[in-house]
Amino acid sequence: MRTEITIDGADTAGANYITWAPVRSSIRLVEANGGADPVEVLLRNQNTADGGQIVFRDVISGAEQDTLQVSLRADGTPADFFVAGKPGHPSVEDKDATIEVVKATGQDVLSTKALMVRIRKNADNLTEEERDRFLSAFAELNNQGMGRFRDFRDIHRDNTSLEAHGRAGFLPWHRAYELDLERELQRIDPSVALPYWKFDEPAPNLFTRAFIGVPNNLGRVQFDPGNPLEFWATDGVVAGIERSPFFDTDTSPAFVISEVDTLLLGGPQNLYAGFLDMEGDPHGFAHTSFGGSISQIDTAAKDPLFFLLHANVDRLWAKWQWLIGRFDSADPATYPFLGGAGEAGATRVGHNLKDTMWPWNQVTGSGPPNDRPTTAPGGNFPASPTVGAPSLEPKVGDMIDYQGVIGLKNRLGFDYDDFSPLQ
Amino acid sequence: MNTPEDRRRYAERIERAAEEQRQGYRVFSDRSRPAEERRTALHRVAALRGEDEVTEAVEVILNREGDPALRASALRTLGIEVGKRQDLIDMAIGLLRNSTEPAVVRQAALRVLQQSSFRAATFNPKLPEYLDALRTVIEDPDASLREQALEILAQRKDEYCQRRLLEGLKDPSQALVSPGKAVQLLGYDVHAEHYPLLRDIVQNPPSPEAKEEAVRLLASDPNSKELLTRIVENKEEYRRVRNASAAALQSLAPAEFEEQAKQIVYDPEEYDELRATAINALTLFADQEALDQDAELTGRVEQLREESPSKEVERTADRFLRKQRRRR
Amino acid sequence: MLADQAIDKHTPEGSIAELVDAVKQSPEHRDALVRLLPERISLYEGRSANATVRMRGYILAAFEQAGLPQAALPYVLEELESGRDAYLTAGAARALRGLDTPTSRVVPFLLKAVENIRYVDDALTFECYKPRWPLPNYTTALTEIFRTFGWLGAHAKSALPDLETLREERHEEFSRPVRAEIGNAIDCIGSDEKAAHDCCSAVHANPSLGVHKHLQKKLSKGVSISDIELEDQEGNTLAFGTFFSRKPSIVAFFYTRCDNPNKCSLTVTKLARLQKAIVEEQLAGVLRTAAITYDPEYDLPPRLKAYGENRGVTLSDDNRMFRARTGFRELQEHFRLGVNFTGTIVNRHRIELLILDAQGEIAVTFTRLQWDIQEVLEQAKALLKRT
Repeated sequence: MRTEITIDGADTAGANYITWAPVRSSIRLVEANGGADPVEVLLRNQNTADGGQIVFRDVISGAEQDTLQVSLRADGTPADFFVAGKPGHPSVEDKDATIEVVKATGQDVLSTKALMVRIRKNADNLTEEERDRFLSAFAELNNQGMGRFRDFRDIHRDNTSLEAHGRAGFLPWHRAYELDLERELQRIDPSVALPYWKFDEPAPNLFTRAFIGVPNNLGRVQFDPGNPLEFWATDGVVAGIERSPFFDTDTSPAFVISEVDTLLLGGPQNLYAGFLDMEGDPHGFAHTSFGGSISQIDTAAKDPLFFLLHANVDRLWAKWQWLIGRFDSADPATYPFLGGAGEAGATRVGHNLKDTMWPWNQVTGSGPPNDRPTTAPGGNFPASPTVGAPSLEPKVGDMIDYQGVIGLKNRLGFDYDDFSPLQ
Repeated sequence: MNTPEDRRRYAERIERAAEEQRQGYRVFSDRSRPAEERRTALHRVAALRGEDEVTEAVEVILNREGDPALRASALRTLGIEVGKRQDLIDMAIGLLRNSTEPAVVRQAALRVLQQSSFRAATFNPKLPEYLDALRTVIEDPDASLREQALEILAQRKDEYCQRRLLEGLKDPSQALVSPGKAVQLLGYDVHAEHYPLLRDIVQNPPSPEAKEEAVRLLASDPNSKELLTRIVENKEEYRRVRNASAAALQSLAPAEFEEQAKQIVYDPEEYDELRATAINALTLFADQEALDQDAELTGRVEQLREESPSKEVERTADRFLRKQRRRR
Repeated sequence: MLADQAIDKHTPEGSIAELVDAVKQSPEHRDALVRLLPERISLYEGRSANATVRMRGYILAAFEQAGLPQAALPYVLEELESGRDAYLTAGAARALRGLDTPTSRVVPFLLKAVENIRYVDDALTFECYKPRWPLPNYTTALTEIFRTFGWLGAHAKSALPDLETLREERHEEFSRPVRAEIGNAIDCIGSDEKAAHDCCSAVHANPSLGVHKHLQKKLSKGVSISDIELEDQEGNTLAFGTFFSRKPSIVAFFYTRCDNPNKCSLTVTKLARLQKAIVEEQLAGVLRTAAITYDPEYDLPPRLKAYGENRGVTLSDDNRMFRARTGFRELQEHFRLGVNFTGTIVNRHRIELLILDAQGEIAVTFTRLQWDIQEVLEQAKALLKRT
């Protein structure tokens, strides 16, 4: 007797990555051993001591359970259920969260299904293996300046700055930018999730030669020999990265306001318009807590730390959304510009809810009505094997309900380790 | 933070922080209190926003008789609003430019202006004034301000900054920063004219760091391939300089360096740092199909993983072998 | 006078500045300045990009006083249309004020310059060469652009709607002094009651400013380039004459380390769009496309490939990206490429696209100004019809 589990309607290895969000799954008997009666099976975590853990629900609105009993028809009709990562128990290695299916009576294992609870984590808390997988994928994407990373570098420049800075779309645009990068990393190694630099706390494990590097007296970042980033190159310069912190990276945070103070920026009414001030502090001050590339818009994306910085910016927005309940894009408190460019009350193109975002919309051409940069590096938004959103040309509004709180189809396929929006 | 109870407790913490902010502002705005107390209170305020708070902060900032540390803290705490208002940007530029203002206030102004530059929509119109002010500051008696201004301008490939740095390299009495730092700042622009200078520094280095920096920057210069190869092969050379040369050659001449990297791996006399870099290069960039067929190299890497006392070699060897296994 | 002496890579910058200042006082010698503008001249050899910008910007600005000859106009318009350096853009905007008569043909270029430079405007001066800071006062590129609009007067009437949009709807994007300049420009244009006689047709309709058809078969005598060894993005090597024969080709020049997105990055992106248009017109198979790097020692095949793929370029037997393994200097001479170098690194180049006939000889060139995909296609089709 054997069973087969399908996650989210797909049976591909690339689909077997989950977050805290519930994913519709199904299980069926594939070899019933000739019986006609239903078979009761139990779904559980194979290893409850280590690695990622999975919770089950029988229906989307049901309670999370560590085990789930399912009745399977002998004719192989699938039975639906939901799986999600168990908050607080993300995976540490690829496919370390295994569903084990046993007969409800007895312990015969009928099948297993290896998943990964793939979560964005605090960079300072990564294991060495998690760190090295991330750095290897990043270095491969950079490929000494010849890889796809060049597009990410070219997207974030002075002449493209108005697409992403100084207006409401700052947060959704950077969420899309980070997600695009993360998906490219996952094409290289699907076990990788973008870590975040929690800049309001010391991060002594991040600012090391084994990870993001330590500068010499000239501000040239040094790596341990063998660190994949030792070949990092951008702009035709293989000289690496220049970054001089103005703070003690072993013992101090960057010169930013705290997470708690950031979450208060929305004011008593918790409005997005107020929360957006985080672009100045902590975001702007995180950038300028250093000398070097990361301290200016035009050069910031040369430094890999930029992407960990912005992962935290995104986490703060996600946490604010969770705390206040800001997932409904129809609510102006969630996002203030509900229409599209050119409509009454709209703001600059690319910053209204219904606007598609450059560069993924591939719209170019300066001057009204386009008012976009002259090129659009990188092409459309990359698809994911685990979720269907966003579309190839994502709109600002597509980045709001990232966890699928309003609609499961809105899920973007990432979560953070320190909170679960569905709680 | 994974249960509703966690969330409730966090929300309470946020409420407490809101009250602390209100209390902090009361202390800050109480001019009868000592400057140190008011400055400490600003940490609890986090950000000064809203018309009344901005007005209060600006008065403190512009009070030349006031405590400089308090003025600097007020300016920093006003950072969010500075990024949104051109009049406040003007104020910060004025402070930066004014060499009679205390250094700590000018440092805060520079930090706040740099932070504001990320709010491009508001800041762009002020860019000419800001750059004009920075160019004045590169002559400043305050070394920290001088270096920060140079760094910002050099990243922008600023003509005046490059001109002054080159003058300083040719005539040390005109130098604004150390030769190694000047070389690094010039290196932000591959189109600068400093490659002959870099080659000179490699031959006659003022310091090991300057030499290492020059070697790194020569990775952009195809004319330097032979020089870099000689450095990698020279076992008497500083190790960091050899590693930097290896990285540079990997970019300039990847096919040739692949062969060199293999030789480094085989060489029993080589030191571990260079071996780790060589294995790293092979793992990331070499022709993987060819490597899969090279049983001798695989054997050597396995041997190094088992026998090398170096953690870096062990780690890179492990990655090399795991990548091969994944490919199979 | 220096103008009578040889000017080359050894000429001190100070001497160039003296020449420029002298011409400002003696405008009848302004053609001497025009001779300093082609990128390929020895003057720029070995200079940094910034030194090149310094000289060229100072020269352009001098035309305001010396008068702007027609021969210099393409250099000015190129800077406005594609430049991203405030000093050069300001110089170009000033240069237009040296025209004998204003013309509305320059309006689209000035509008484009506003878009190009508004993120990277700067404080600058032409009061002297190589100024030292602090400056007693300064101008900016945007200031100079809007002053030129004002100078154009009635000839800039077509720009009024755009200028009013800038003043009314986009005023936050400009500083107060620049907003004042916009206002002045609008007033000058509005109050100029002279009839502007030239029509508002875009300069691209006039081929003399950026498009050249070559009636002669050979441009330069000397070494044949057909044996020059090219290497494509896959590492395949072949002779120039092997690829560029039997079918006409459209060839763009670029390099991956170009830091002006309006030049090489846009050129290769447009090449990708041109390739799609060729397919749509069912000309694939009868037309080849190629991009050749100015930087053959650095732009090795993996770089070429990544650069092209990242910009949507189709790569196939008839569509390739090349570096010259040998003989790049001969190639440069043969095609009189508008490029110069400091060492092996490009310090300055123009936009250039060639249409070669089936013998590999130039039939049409598009230089300096942004080439139009449809126009290139029309010229290629016309060539196909002729052969």
